Amino acid sequence: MNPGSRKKALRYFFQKIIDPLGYKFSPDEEMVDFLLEQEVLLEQKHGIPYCPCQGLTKKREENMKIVCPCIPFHREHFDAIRRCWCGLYVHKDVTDPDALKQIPFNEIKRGQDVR
Amino acid sequence: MKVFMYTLSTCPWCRKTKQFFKEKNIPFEFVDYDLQNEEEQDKIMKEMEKLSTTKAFPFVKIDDNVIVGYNPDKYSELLGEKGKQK
Amino acid sequence: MIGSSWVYAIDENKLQENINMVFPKGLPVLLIKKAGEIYAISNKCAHMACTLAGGTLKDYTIKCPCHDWKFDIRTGEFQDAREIRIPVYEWKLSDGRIFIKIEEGKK
Ligand code: SF4
Ligand code: FES
Repeated sequence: MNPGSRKKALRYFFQKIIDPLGYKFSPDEEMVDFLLEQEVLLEQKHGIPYCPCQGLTKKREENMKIVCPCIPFHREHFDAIRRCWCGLYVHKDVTDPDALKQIPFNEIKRGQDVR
Repeated sequence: MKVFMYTLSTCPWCRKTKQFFKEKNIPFEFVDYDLQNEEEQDKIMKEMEKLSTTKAFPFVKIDDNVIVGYNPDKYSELLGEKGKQK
Repeated sequence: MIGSSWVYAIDENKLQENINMVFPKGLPVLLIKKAGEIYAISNKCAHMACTLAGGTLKDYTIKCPCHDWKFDIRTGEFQDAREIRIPVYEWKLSDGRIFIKIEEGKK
């Protein structure tokens, strides 16, 4: 399958998942296109559209938590920074993704909202 | 001052991070985690997990300070005077 | 308004314990027989549409073979985010035959 149509297919699958979680594709189209392209390449290599911004290990259980969209497994973290780690998805109310910061989970206090 | 980073070849924020240091003419070393063999990856992940809690990239070390994520404000702060030059 | 219809799926005596794949009107449905009860859920994973029938069933949870997403066979809910669910179907038994209720215009 050529990468363009696979990108579209992933978009279709993932849109249905992120919507009920309160997320949307980032308005930064260039970023979205780049990340989906990386996921298609990762899928060609591993058979699975892994996260382009998190590292794989030898443990299946851990790797399954970084298959896109990994929001369900990192909800508290991503809800706090208002986007997923890669920035492929943002909270529905985000209009300026560049204003968001990439803060690791261990620096987020429980219940904190980083804006 | 020593700048070192673990990155992924697939991650846009890792590219931005490298770009940040390049633009400031600050020499740095990096290792692309995803391009290493399994044994090497194991070692790197263990080191990252000791210093942070996460599998998230980029992972930047400025001397002994660890910054996870693309965070130009923090890089600048740690670089002091050097971080200001353009 | 969406109409719904009862569509024949399988004879009750052909049902095996645990996982059964049926295709009423071409719709991929899983009939799960467990401890005397029957549950009817979609056979398509909410993640990337893998066939759940190839997964593993443990208690009331079916695990997708592709990336291990787990769904409750009673409610269709995804274990790690309950907002996400796979369709659950109504079924009925009549004359030893199992029928599934399918809503038109909604798959
Ligand atoms: S961080 Fe974002 S892009 Fe990466 S896997 Fe998770 S949801 Fe997908
Ligand atoms: S398709 Fe079922 S978990 Fe990914």
